Amino acid sequence: MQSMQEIFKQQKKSLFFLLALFVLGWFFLDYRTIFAGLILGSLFGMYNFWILVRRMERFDRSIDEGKRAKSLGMGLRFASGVGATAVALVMPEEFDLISTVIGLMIPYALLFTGHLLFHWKQ
Amino acid sequence: MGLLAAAIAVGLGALGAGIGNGLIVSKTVEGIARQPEARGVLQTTMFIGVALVEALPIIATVIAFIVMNK
Repeated sequence: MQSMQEIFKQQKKSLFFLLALFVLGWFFLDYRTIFAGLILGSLFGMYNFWILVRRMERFDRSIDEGKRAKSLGMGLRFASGVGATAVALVMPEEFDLISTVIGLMIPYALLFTGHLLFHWKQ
Repeated sequence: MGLLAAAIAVGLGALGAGIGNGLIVSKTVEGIARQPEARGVLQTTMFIGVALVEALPIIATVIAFIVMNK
């Protein structure tokens, strides 16, 4: 089974690839607000994942040292989701709201499909 | 009414995520205590579990925020 760091590395790779596609779409296609929303959402989604990995490592260290683990950062991840939505709500002429929410969920969809593919290959 | 709907959406979403995360973490710690050599596998499973459990409550929070501000 892949380790957490390997999964995160793979996620980063595919997310950067998708981000590059979104940036190309933003430059060359007419749907600028939709691609801007997707970029914004996936950046916040990646931040969510980074927080999750960092907190998991801290949790692991606290188990090692026999200390109490404080939290896994759920509130921070909720807040970053709300932050992405707030940006899209404040600037509707720049970012499309629906595509921001879709972009926010892209890392989760990638994780799910990556995990399924990994098990299917084995 | 919109505020009430938002509060219920966030509250129930957070409740579900809290219970789900609690179960995942408790079982993982239990598993690591029983079999320390399976730590890596358990940690990866916990990571994926926590991420997938939190996806829907985040959507609930986002929808509540949209409802509040429309």
